[in-house]
Amino acid sequence: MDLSTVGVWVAAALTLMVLSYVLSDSPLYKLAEHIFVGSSIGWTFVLLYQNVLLGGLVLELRDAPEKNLPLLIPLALGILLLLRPIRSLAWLGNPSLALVVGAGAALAIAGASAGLLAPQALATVLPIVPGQPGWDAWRVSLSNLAVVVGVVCVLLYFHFTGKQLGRYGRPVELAASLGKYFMMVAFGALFASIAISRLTLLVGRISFLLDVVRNGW
Amino acid sequence: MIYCPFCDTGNRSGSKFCNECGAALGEQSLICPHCSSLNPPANRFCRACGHALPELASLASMAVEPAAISAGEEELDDELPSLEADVPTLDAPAPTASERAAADTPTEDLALSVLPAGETTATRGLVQDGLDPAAVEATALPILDEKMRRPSELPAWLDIPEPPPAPRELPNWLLAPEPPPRALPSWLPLQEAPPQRTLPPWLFTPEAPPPPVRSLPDWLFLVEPGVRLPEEPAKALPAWLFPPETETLPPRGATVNGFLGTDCTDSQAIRFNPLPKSVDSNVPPVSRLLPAWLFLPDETPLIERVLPEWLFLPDDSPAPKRFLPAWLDTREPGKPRLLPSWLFAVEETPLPLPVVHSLPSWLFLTDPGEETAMPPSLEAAEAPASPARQTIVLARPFQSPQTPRRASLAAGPEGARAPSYEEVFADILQPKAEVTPSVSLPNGPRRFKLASVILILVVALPLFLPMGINVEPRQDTTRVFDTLQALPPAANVLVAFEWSPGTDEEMAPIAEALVRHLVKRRAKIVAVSLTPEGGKLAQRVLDQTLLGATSYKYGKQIVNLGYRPGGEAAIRSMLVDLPNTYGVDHFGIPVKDLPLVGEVKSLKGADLIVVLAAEPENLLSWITQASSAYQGIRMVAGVSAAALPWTRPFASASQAAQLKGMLVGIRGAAEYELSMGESRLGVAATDAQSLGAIFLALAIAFGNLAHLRARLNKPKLARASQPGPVGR
Repeated sequence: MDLSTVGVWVAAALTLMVLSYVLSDSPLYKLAEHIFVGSSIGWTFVLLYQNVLLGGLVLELRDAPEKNLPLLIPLALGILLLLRPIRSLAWLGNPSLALVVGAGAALAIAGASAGLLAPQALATVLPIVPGQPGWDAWRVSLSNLAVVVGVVCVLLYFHFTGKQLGRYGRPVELAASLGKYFMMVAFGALFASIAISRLTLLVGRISFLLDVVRNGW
Repeated sequence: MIYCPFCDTGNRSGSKFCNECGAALGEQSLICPHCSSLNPPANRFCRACGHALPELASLASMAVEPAAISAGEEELDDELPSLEADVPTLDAPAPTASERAAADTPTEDLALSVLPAGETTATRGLVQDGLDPAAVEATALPILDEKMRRPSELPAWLDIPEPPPAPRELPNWLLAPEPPPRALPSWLPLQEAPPQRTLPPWLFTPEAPPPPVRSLPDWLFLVEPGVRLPEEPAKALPAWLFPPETETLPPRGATVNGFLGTDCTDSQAIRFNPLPKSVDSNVPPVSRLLPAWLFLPDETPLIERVLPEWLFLPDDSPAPKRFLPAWLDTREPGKPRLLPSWLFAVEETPLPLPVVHSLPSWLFLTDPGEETAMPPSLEAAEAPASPARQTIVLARPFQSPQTPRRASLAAGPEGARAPSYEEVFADILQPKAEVTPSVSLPNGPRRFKLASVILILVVALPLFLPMGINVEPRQDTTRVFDTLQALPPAANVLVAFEWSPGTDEEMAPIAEALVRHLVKRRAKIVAVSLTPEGGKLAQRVLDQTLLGATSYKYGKQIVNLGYRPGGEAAIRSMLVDLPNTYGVDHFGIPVKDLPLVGEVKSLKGADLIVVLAAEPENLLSWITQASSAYQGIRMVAGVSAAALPWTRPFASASQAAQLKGMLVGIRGAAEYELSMGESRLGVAATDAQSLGAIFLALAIAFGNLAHLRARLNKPKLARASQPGPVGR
């Protein structure tokens, strides 16, 4: 019996331990849960050590120290960041933290504005009048109309000062209430998609157990 | 305020004992003529020095004589300056109304206000001087009553607070010895006396002028009978201040029909409650003068205001009858109404008598054996069926059953006794019989287990018996297939493996289908990952799909660069320089030794980017950083079903779409396998997933129906005393 066979049986046993939660919150389920969390963290730590600390820093400095001298700057920033738990020396980690937060915010804002906001705003500008006869054209037109109306109504739902608009307040409130139903449909779709996704995982696990039983691994 | 002669504690006027030390306050204290110590009136010798004390009775029996008063005032003038000098040094408060009033009172009143209760300046000064009691009898002022110290002109509600007590000399035995002087250490010598600095004159504020004496307005004082007030011009009060002349109040004790004199039956007669004696009209009213600002000028015409017409009902129009809607009228034939009577319009039929709620007799406590007449208000509510209410007797409401009841009673006609606590609350204390609903349903956890087991069986059945559910490729899947099919030979394709083992069951079929198609198209594959477990999972997928593909050489046609931390920053770095972003691949091989990586150079050098992401955030990172920075990048994706609502807007058929196509979940994998003419993991799992989805939909539908039924049946169950949530 090689290690792969042992791994398969361990995986089958862990699968059954997790599925035992259906019957009760048993210690077997707790054990499997702890093994999963611990192995994930351990795997991530080893990976970071090998890829970042060892492969990306120590080995680089050992092999070509003159060329990789700039690597000492992130090393120093990282060491300063480790001083954050010490109250008296926590301020030394501020530059590292500022660099991380600032670079992250810059990347996120630039990417979101150019990659999400503008393209998606343009994508909601859709033709709602069918350009050609036929059911398909009408179906696309109705779909586009639902997108446009849904976007506008949901945006108006978050416009909380409709009552202050005078005679225009009533239509705004009606559109906002319609936007609420659009959001409810969206939330229902989110729930259904998550349920289908988790159902797929269950199918995969049961299929794995059946394979173990069939093949006798 | 009365100050204790022993502890100087201030006590409220009328107190008989000190709040602090408990000494009697009504008695007078004796001051030792030798050491000025205060002594109780019973002492004959001073408790501090042993000196003989004068008897208080001789002082208290002194009579008031004008000559003696005048003689005492002469000595009073000698002591007043010292007393007056002591008064402002207490706390230097702002002059209060009482002090302003005291400024207008005679000097004796001021002196009285700063001395302890029952002590006059005359007695204090004379006793302190150690004069003969006979001389005291001839010269001292009598001990004035406390009521005499308040000016009689002010009404009682204008009680003037007394000023703080004057400083008194403490007896010697109360004084703590002074601490011995301590020498400063040598290292702390005073260098020099600090130079005296004169402050600039602008720092000193001019002395505030004495506050003006303010006199209360005349109308605040009651006018004594017989005093003639200066005549003021008569001013007419506005008419709306006077009640109509025709309105007369019923005499006291009369019976008034209805509320405010409205017609009603005799049973609703309201007994006119006489006014209390404090406001009895027998006392002749005191004429009060209203202030001048309450009067309108004579020449000011009254403004006539016209009410709008809609406030008036036409005179000839009858009062509209109001009827309740049918659903509010719960009256059934032969049964009384459940709604209160005031909700219904007045009809010819007499209104039902109001229900009088009588308190249980044990709530009334009297002495044992004593009979107390029923209050008149409860006489009307007396019911002949409850003879125990005839008398109010003592009963212990919370008496335990073991102890014999004392509440037997005295005088009930039939030996009636007061109901005990158990009898009154028998309905509450008696354990209720378990009322089970008509349909016994398993509880929540049990139903959850049952549904879970059924779901597992439903999902496992198609794995034994494939059903072959027809799967038609959707447009998104077709666009992905067409995009890969249109790749040129030996195209450079970068595949991002962004999932963890938790979602491997769903993502692995998608990844295997796409990589298999790429291998078929002889594309060069560069595997990257921004997820820690992605490198290992990518290698497993590559191993399974490249099994038997001998033409693929690692480093030339396929490379697994593995995990790279940094997230979006790493993607940006890959856009610029892919080899330096990694350095080494998944196996630790330097990237410079992998020709394929040097050939791709960056993300811009890839002909296609395939992102396999289980979470929407991972795909959005690639979209926002890669597609926004370089418009020429062609990207397709494979996502889990959970990420579909978040990623669906990015995939469309338009040229500007950021995703050229997208595979979604196990269904997308099955569609892609069928598009390639295969039947593997995706197709095999589609049957099970479809049946499981149908079961979930039915479970949700039945659950909602059960919940709806529970809500409809909830009132019935609640009346059946079934507490708690129903149907859980």
